[in-house]
Parts: sequence; structure tokens; C-alpha cells
Amino acid sequence: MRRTAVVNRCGAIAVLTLVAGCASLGGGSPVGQLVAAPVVAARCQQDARAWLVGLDAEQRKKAQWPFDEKLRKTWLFVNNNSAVYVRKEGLAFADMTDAQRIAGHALIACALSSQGYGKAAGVMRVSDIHRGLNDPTLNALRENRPGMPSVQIGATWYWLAIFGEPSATEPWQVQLEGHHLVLNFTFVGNEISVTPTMFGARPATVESGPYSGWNVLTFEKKRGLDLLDALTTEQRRLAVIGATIPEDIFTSPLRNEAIDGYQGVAGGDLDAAQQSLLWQLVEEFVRNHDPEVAEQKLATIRRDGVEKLYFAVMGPTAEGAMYYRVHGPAVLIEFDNSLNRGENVPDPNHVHSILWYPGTDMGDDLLRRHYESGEHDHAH
Amino acid sequence: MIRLIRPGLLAGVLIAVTASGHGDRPVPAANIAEMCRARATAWLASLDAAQKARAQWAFDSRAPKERYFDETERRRKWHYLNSIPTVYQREEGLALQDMTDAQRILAHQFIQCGLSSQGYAKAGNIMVGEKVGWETLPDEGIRQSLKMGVIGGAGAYWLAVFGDPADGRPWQWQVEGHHLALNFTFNGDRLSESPAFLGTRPTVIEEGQYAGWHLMGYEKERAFRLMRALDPQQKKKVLLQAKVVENIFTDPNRLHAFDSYQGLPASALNKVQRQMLLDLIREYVANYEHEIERERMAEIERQGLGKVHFAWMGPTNDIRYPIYFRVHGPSVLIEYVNAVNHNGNNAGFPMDVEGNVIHGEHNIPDSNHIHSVYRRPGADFGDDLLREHYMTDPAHRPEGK
Repeated sequence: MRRTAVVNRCGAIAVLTLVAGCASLGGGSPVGQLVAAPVVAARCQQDARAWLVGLDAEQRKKAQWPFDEKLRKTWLFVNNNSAVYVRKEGLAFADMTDAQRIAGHALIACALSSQGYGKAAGVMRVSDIHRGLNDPTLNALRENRPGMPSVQIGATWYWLAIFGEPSATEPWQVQLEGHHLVLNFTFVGNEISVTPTMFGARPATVESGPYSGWNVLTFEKKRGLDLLDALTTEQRRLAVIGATIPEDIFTSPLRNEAIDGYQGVAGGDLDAAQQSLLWQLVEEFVRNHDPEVAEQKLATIRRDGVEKLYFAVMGPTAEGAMYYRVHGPAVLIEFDNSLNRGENVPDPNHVHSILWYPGTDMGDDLLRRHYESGEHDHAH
Repeated sequence: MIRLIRPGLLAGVLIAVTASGHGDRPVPAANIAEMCRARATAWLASLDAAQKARAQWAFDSRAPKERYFDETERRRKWHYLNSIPTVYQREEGLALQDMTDAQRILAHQFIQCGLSSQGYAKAGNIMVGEKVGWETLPDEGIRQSLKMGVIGGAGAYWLAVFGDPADGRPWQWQVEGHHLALNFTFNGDRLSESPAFLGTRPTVIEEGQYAGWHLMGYEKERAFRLMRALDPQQKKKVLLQAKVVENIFTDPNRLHAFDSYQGLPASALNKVQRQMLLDLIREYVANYEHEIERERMAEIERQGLGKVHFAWMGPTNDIRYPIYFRVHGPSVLIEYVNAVNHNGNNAGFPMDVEGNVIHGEHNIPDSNHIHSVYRRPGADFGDDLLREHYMTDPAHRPEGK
């Protein structure tokens, strides 16, 4: 089984080594589904070139890395904490001019949908509100940050990197990484991989001030609750695989735990109405990307069968903390509303979520085919 | 018209969910009408008497003629100039800035009741982002107005309920402010989600730490994707004129501006082009919750996707230019213009018959200012739902109906 290989490959790796490819596993089909998206690929190439050409030599050193660079697969959504992880690849929006920021946002947007970009922009914006919160984790950082001039959380503390050269033939990748937001677009020709994708938010709903009420990431929780609430007592017994909410999503680079097979209630045990709610949940994640990509991914998942999607829940608590997972041959989604270290509040109002397409993450499958086809002459 | 509890058509979702006998908890979230009622009630209950007097109005309450409106039902009033009080002052609705934090949280939950994450993200980003954008605009008038506090920001959006969500009769909610108007009208479990106005200025923030942030970038992207896929003959039919109008046609006082379809019908599109047209339509229809989206897309197919027309003004080969487009069919009308306030540049660009700009660079970007509207001909403000209601409940019929 694939997981064995994964454990072998990743088992010895310390948590903070952050090899993300290790996380997307378990029960997944060994070969992912390719997505040909010529319109998106062409737009992303154009936007990437436009961003790169506007950078000076110093900026470009940070912005562009060889495709073979190990850092391509290294990511974390807790930036930039000197005690945990200091990122060197990528140019932060903080270090860009206005014109470069405009080009940078266009690049982020190139493979997203309005649903996904709206969430991403909201997450970035709400990071400024987070920075102003009395958050014990942030406070500790502020007191203990040798060599770090400021807490690098906020709308401009997102690092944009390109691995390889934007190309219609050779592999290349766009990566955006920062607090609660990680996007990866990997291209080989017209084919694209858009995972792993991480969205998080704290606060998920702004609690005070002129923007109170605004929330940037609450539909994910609503979809999970809608489905959970629709289950029969028996189905619910299958779906709830633990009473305790885990401290974080399992396939976070911080935990790096493989998910051991499918758990929870299978789509095949749901009636048509419940399957429809499950499908809406899947769409809440898949449709964060451009319809040219998303519709093909949805078709793949549908072809595999909604009955093969498993829905698993831990918790939820009456107050609002919860964890859920949707897992099938071609998709793995995790969501949690938990994890406020050092705080003890009922609804943490702090969301982490992740989308994987097992077998294709970071373009693995595209690259395997590319290299096997002999169309390249790199050593790997 | 959408009936939210109806066996069969909506995959039996709502019926079956309600009837599945889970017994643990009710599932109001599965029923949009029910969820809106519950959230309206929760928000209204949090208000004091003075706030409530602003927030809730009789369903058929009428307002006198004023500068921007003919005499009309209050619930039909909306204008994209709202929050510029020197231009247009609104009586109906309680502004977010006049609510407490707790009330604002309830208000935002209320606004979400019929929207999808796509729609709510657009609305939220317009509300939060526009003021940030204004501060960076090269428009001294706006900067001065902001300093003087005569135009609003995230707080200057008015939320109103018309009628009583709890009495079983028709009711409506509306959020309205600068560049944002959403209307949901209910008759029992059926609802109407139009008209909706979404606009923004700027569309892309140009200065400062938020530079690059798009508030409404995808509508134009989807339209251009379709345009680029058309062949020269099709482009000629889509292109109505070189000159770009400065505003939408169906503004608040001209709900019925078109008496015919213009442009290219979808019956003349190939399969790939049709999918691009559907993606463009979904950019609007999928602003609403899944049940609404599904029903509306099904309705468009039922009425004949082939009858839906795509029309355009302005350059067709360069996304940087100001453009106008329209999608118009039996059950959908979308208008979009990114040429508002485009002073002096609306005379048109030298273009060939397919809309390709001639002589290359004119260096004239779009106006960074969008007005866009989503309508359902004959069904805005619940007109289709209410026709039936007035037949059976004449006491509720407004004068002149």
C-alpha cells in the first residue's frame, strides 16, 4: 500500500523538515488524474512573466528558484516565526513596490476562481486584524524574536515564489505561502496541479471593531455541519470517529501524519439528499480553483463515485469547535476549527483547512509522466 | 421562481433531509427560506426600538418621489450612489455603523443566508475593500469627502427588512450601500434573489499595502475568455458598437430597458464556447447558495440556453480596455460595464469590425470602476411570486397593482 512507502520515505524526517509531499496519503489511488487547462496555463505563464520582469536583480534572487530546488516542496502556513520556521524562498509582498504587488496579485489569481481568490484576499486582509489581537502565541513571538524586526503576520507577509521558468513545455511552479494561506500551481505544458492548498483564518469571524461580523472562511464549517446534522443516528455513529477534537489537521506539515485508510461514513451509505450535501462540501473546496480546473476535478471525483467518499468527524462541541475530513480516491479534505494554544475558549474562531488531490500534489503525477516521456534532459 | 421544498426537482434534497428522521437536531440550514427567516428574526430581536424603526418597514410601505426615484415601494429602492449622503440619503434600513459588534455579527450572518461563499466574499470584499481603495484613488474629491466623513466605508451599508418574516406573508430583506445592493424576496418557501447590484471602484487597489487586491476581477476575465474563443464572424455579431457606454442600461429607474435581445445567441456557439458562456453566467448565479444556483441554471436550460444572447461594446482583444457586456435570455439578464466615469475616453477606440484595437497601444486602461447588475426578467423583487399572492390575498395588494 502506498502509505508504507510514504512512511519509509518520511518516517525519519523530523516534523519541521516539512516535506509536504509526505502528507498526502493513505488510501488514495496511486495515480492521480491529470487536468489539462490550456486557458489557465497560458494566463499563468503570462502573469508570471509579467511579475518576474518587473523585479530587480536582488528581488529576483528571492523570487525565482530552480525547479529542482528542494524548497519547492517545503511549505508551512505558520510564517515567519524564528523559533519554528524562517522562509528563504519567495519575495514577500512587504518587499514589493505597488506595481509589483499588482502583478503579484494577478499571478495569485491566475488559477483561482472568484470564490477562491475572494477567500484568499480575505485571509490576507484579516491577517492584519489578527496581528492586532491579544494573542498569546503572537505575544510570545514579540517578546522572543532575536533577529526578527517585526512579527511577520499581516496582509503583506505572504511570500511569492516561482520555481523553474514559466514555460509551455518545461515544468514550473508558482507558490504563495504565508500565514494561513498556501497555494501551489504546478505546470507541465497545459497540465496543471493546484494542490496542496491551505486556507485558514483567525479570526474566522471578526469579533469587534468596524469590520465585526465579516468572516472570511465560515462556509466550510457550515457545509460540514449541514451534512452532520442531516445524518441519522446510525450514520452519525459511523461518521464520528472521535469525541476529542485534534489539535490540528493531520496532513499539516507541522504534524505530518499519514491518514491511515478511509474512516467515517461512506457516501455509499448516504441517501441522495445527504450525498448532495456531501457534494456541496466538496465543491466548497474544489471550486476555489478556476472552473477550467475545478469542473474536471469534480468530474473525476464523480466518476470515482460519491459512494467512495468518506466523511469523518471529530467532535463537534456544542459551542462550535469541530474537525472533519472528506477522503476518497482522488481527493482529501481536512477542516478544523480548533487550536488556540494557551487559550481556553469554546469556539476558537480559528480555522485551518486543506485540500489534496492524492497522487497529483505538487504536480507529482504530471512530472512522472513528463520525465518518463523523455521530453526533458534534466537529471533528477 | 424557486420553490425550496418541492419533491423531485431539487434532487429531493430538502424534503429528504427534513424527513430522514435523524432526530438529533433540526436542519434549518438546508432550507434557505427558513434560514433567512431565523436569521432575520435573530437580528431584529437584538435591536432596540429606535434601531428597529429604521430596520423594519411594512412590506408595501411607499416612498415619495425624490431625486433618484419615482414614487415607489420602499422595498424597491436601491442605488449604487448610496453612502454618499450629499447625493442620496436613505431612510430605509439600519447602517452597519449604527450597530453594536454583537448586532453586526448577527447582521453578517443574516446577509449570508442566501449567498454562497463566492457571493459573500464579493459582498464582503466590496464592503471592506472599497474604502481602502478610495483612499488610494487619484480623485481629490473622494479623498476630501473621506476626510470630511461625508462618504462612508465598511459601516455605510444599510440592512432592512420589509414585512414580518414570522407572519407567513411575503417579506423581503435588502442590504444596500455604495456599489452593493442585494434583495431577497420571500413568499412562503419560495424566493427571488434579484435584482442584485455589484460594483466597485477601484477594481484593483493601486497603492499601499493592499495594492493588487482585486475586489471584482473575475467577471471581466470570464467574459474575455468567451470573447477570445469566438471566431471573426461571431465577434462581428457580438460587437454592438465600438463606443463603450458609461453605465448599465437597467439602472434603478429603468428596470425594463431592453425590448429585444441583441448580440449573438448561444444557439450559434459551439460546445466549448457554450461552456464558457455558462461559466460567465455562473459567475453571477453562483453568488447564491447551491439550491438557488442549481434551480436557476436548470431554468436557463429549460427556457433554452440557445436563446441567451451575448453582446459587447468596446475592444475585444485586450482586457485592459474599458468594455461593456450583456448576457440576456428569457430568465436572466446580466449587465457589466467597466467604463464608469471614463471621462473623455468613451468616444470609442479605433477598432476593426471584430473589435481588435487598431494601431496597438493607446495606453488607456479601463476606468477601474465597475457597475454590474443581475436580474431575472419578470421575477425581480419576487414579482412572479407575488402575482399569485395578490390573486389570493387581495388585501395585501399594493395600490395600482
